Amino acid sequence: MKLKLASKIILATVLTIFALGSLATMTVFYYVHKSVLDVERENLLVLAKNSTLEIVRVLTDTKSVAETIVRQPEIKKYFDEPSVQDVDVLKLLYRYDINDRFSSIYVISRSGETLISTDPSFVGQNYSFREYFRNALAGNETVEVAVGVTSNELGYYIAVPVRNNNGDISGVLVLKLKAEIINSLVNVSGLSNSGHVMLVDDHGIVTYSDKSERTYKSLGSLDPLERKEIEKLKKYPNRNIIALDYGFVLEKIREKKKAGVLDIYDKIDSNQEILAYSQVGDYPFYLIFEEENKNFSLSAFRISFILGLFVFISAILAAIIIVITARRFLRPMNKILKFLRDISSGNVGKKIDIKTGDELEELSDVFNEMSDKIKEAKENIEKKVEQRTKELEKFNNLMVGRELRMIELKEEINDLKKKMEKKTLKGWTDRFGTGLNYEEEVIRDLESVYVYKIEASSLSNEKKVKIKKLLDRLIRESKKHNEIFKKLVKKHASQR
Amino acid sequence: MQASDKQLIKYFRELYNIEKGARDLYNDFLAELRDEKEIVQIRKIRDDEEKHMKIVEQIIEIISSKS
Repeated sequence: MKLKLASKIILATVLTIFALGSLATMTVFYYVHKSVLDVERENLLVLAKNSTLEIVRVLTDTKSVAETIVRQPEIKKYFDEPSVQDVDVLKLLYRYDINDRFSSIYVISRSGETLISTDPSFVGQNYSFREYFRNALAGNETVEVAVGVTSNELGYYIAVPVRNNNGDISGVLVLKLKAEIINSLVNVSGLSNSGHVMLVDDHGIVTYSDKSERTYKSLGSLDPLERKEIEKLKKYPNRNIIALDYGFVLEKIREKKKAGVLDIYDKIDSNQEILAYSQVGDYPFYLIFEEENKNFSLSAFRISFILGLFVFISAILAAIIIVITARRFLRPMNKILKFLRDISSGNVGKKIDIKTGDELEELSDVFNEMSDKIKEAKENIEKKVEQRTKELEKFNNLMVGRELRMIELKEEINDLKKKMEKKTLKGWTDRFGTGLNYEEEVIRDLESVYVYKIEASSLSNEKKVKIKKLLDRLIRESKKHNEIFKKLVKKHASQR
Repeated sequence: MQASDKQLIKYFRELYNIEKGARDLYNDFLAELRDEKEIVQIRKIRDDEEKHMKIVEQIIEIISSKS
């Protein structure tokens, strides 16, 4: 399919705009999307870190409370003569249970037996299997999360050693902070509607999530030894711990990373997600914030869509402008085209009138000059052809006349010769002289008339060459005969 | 065949007649010559004229041919 020049220009321009515009749009989308994601990653990490601060404060305050309690003289001397549910010590403990924040505050002996507790159901229970007990007995203040074997309630256990006046560890004080106190501090206001949060322990087990079905699930698969340890410590008794698909985060926790951001593909939710995790101070807990990428992709897509729309409108406008402009610029070209067609069909001497003030006007001036010269040359050739034709006709007539006359003369000579030969020949001198004349005439005719006739004929070159060769032979041999007759005439003339 | 070719053939037929006339003349010479040397020379010339007649016929054939 042939396209006009204007159509080709329009098509090329529009396609170029579309191609480059699409490339620009995709590039913008990529970089905007990348930038938006980078910003959101940073934001999510800051949110995670900031969200841990309040939890740290509460846990630290609780530890301070515990430290204050164990410094009281009632506690310090209690183990000198311990008694179950000692009234003075119990009063002391109740005093510190402000705002009903604690499930229980209790004192454990070195053997692990609970001697005093604000929750009477704890009294007589042995918690020597608890990690917090063993750590406190070793002199370390410990914060731990677990589900109570007695209460079957989740809580945060803050355990501190109880030292006597000699400084020896005589028992352990435990403050069990209600889980909801900590859970209420998890701030999800910075998340989108599709964002989620998880609070996990140092085994990666979820102790709190806005998606409740995640509670008591692990971030990733637990190896058998770890699972056994958790069961042994009775951290989450009667809970079936199933793995979620956040193994990458669990790895970071195991590597003791304090905070970070990960890009993951959540197979369960079938989403590309950003995860920010942060340790809660120095405590064995982590806060994990999760957001879906598509929330951020939307803004990048919006920007790219507007750009793409702009490209599309630009392409349409460009096409319109080019159509108008091209028609204006191509009009002189069409005039030139028509002019050249006239020249080629023999219509010389015509002129084109283009006044564009640019190269097209120069081109039209050159074409006009060319047309004048072609016309002049054509007229000259026609004159020459006419002249030459007249000359050839004249010459032809002359030659034909001469030839006819020559033929007449030859016939007359032949008659005369025959008559002379028979009546008046004076011997061989005359007879050989006749022969000589014959040959001379033949040579003359061949050289002047016949050769010319063949040259001027319309025969093919091949035929002309063949005939010329034969004529040359005739001329050559006739000349030989001529020489022989000359000698014979001379010989007989001398004998007379 | 073009008219000019026909004209050419006519000229060469004239030439043929001239050559033929020459041949006949030389035949007459041969009938009367006594000198052996001259007989040989004229016979040669006569034979050449016969060849010339054939050459002219050949030329006419070339002109008349289509290719």
